[in-house]
Amino acid sequence: MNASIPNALSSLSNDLAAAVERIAPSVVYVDASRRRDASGVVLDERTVVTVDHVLDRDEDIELILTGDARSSAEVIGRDPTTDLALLRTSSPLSVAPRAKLEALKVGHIVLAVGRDEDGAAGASLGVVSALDGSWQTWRGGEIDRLLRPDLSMYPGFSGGPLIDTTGSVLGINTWGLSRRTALTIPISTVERVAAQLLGGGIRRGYLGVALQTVRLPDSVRAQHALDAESAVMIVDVAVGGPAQRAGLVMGDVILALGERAIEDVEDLQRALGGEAVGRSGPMRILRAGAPRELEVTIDERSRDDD
Amino acid sequence: MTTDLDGALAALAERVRASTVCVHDARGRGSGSGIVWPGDVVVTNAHVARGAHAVVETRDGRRLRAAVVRRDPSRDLAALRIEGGAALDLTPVTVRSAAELRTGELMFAVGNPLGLVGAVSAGLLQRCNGRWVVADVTLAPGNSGGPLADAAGRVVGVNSLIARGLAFAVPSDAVAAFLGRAAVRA
Repeated sequence: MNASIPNALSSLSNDLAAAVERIAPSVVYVDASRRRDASGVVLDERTVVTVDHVLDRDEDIELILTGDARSSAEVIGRDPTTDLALLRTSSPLSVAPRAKLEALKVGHIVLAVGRDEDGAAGASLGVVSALDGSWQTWRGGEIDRLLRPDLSMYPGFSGGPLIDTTGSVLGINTWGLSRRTALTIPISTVERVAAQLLGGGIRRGYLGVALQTVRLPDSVRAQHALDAESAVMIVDVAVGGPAQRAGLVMGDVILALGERAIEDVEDLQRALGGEAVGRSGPMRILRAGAPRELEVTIDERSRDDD
Repeated sequence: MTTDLDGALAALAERVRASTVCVHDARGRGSGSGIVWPGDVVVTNAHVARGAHAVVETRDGRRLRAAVVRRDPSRDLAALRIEGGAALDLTPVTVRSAAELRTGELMFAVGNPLGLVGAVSAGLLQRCNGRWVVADVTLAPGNSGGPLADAAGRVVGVNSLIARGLAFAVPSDAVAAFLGRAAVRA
């Protein structure tokens, strides 16, 4: 009666349904906010990763699993800089299979998976749209790779997994890192941040300044033989902070920290990674148009320093 | 592999389009979609076929007058039959029970969105309950009453509404119940 359809499409469809079935037991609905739905992914038996921006509270969190099963959970670590958070569950859950990102290419078929508050898993289909090197979030978090899928990210899919066609996790989806688009935090970054959070938190360097990027006038660049077209100016100094102890004042323009040239605010944030904590070194500045060098010791930033 | 998939997509689109029609009101205005169902019946949405009559337009441009022989606004379903003994002469769809669907299966919507005749959009099955088949497929006005099909071209639902960017279709099982409730008046 009908012309037959080659079965390539049916086998792809079966593979996709099987991929969703494989990951579904490891995808949970996270009830931690009255306003926002979110999903989470089981990293190990009692640890669930989700996105930080959907958590309105640290305790009394309920997870909804396959078949409307429930488990209580509490926050054990949060990293707003990468928008990741870890939850500890009261009951053991099914651990999500993970993918290797090395073989991933633009154009590969990917699925976003989430769970709604009725306990039903949903999925959407797309392709890898952009894939690039490491980047820094607007809050200064380091993400190993830029991974942007081209698919519909429905309400409640934040915190859920991006999976490949075998059902293995490529990363965690979030609306929290860009206003314009949903992005995927690669699984390698998730594993690194999770290890840091489980090991007692993410260490970040602290200088105790507010900054803005400024253009260097051509006359100043010529006078001091500077290659950079911009630098950062200190617009506020925290009382008793490392910058104040080093003698930095408002209006100083930072050109370099140690060996690193500082051309914008992001450069300075990168120079204040966890490895910088406790380190002392020379900071090259311009004060009232004249170059100076000061010795600065980087502190560790506590949560209150934001 | 790519050629296989392309070929399969083209064959699927061709098969489902062959069983999809345009449905206008009795004056030939407005436009939704309809499905040539087994048993010489065109199935569409109740909100597409509001009156006692409708005009069915086939892909080869024939416009045929049809009677609305059954209508259930609570399920948003209507059944049409061509009047005056004229033959529709179109291949009916193959129907699959929506109850068998698995989340993540490929879904294809065919219809006449925004005046585009026989447009195809694709996505994944989100979930299926007794009331709705929900799919990650982009619909537009004009898709109403058209088929939602699986990767083998079998129809699993009648596209009815768009909510939160998702396609909601009346399950094929509900269509069977709607048509089977009593003999369709001819």
